[in-house]
Amino acid sequence: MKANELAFFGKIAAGVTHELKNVLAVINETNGLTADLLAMLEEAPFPHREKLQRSAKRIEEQVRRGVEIISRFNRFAHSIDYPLADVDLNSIVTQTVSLSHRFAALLNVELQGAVCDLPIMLFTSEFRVQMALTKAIEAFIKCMGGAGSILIKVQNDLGAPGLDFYFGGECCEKVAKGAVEEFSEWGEFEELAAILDISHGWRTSDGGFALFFHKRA
Amino acid sequence: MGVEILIVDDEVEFAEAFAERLQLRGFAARIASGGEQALQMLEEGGAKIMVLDLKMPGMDGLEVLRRVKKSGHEVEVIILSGHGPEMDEYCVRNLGALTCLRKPADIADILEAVKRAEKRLTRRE
Repeated sequence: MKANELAFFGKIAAGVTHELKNVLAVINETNGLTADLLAMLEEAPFPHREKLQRSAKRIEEQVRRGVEIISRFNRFAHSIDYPLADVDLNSIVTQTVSLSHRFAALLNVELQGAVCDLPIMLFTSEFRVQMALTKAIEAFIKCMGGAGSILIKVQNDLGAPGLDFYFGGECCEKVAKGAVEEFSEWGEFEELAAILDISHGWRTSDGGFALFFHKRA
Repeated sequence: MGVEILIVDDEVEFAEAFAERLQLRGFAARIASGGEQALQMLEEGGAKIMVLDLKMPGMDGLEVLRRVKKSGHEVEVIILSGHGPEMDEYCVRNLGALTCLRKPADIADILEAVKRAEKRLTRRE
């Protein structure tokens, strides 16, 4: 896909997410009004009050959930805006974990991210880094072939900012160097890693995986 | 009746429900569905606080904010929009908005901003 085609996709997607936020705002405010009125009638006898209050609360929670998902997707759509930009590694990991969470859950894999307190700025393509991480995650999940967990931990202690991958659960031992290479996603990850100047390797201590970014902001 | 709040938003269903919630809390809330109408209503007087959407057809929120501040109206502007955080600093520092909130916002956060606006208005009197 050409850069201008990607940019076109990003622009349309960002516009749609803005519209969806407006829809959620209308639902949120209308539901809030219902909740306000129910609260005002607290003293008056009212059939099905608890059910109505529960419904209003549930709508409020789902609106919050919807906003979170849409905001993440909006951010993802905007990650195409600039080929290279200053970007915080912590936010890339949070974003990628959030966007890949559902794919992983469908295959019984729990995906988690652990970020640093301080920002770790990289000068890179946010879109491509997200894609590289997602491809690696997909390869790991396929390799597991069953229930498990993946923890992606941001670290900045070893000279270059990086990510440590820890695998857990009954199928975690299946994730290993030779095994992931069988999946096409791994090839795509390696290709992107080379473009983005990301080095990577397997830890001998615990069989986990690590990668390092060499393009600091 | 509390201070008058002008809600400027082209999403009429949103503005109506929001105005009713403010009215339930004792505020006098009115609605403008576009930038031009908002400026006209401001000229007629009454509103002390404006809750302003940024993306609207015709005159957008940024232009409304610029014109409000340029005209010298003593109105505090709270931005309430679906935009990302990148515009916040510009709206507050450069254009004089009180604060920026993200849609859909919690009513408690909006009331907190209204309270801040009231304090600033009182200090100015």
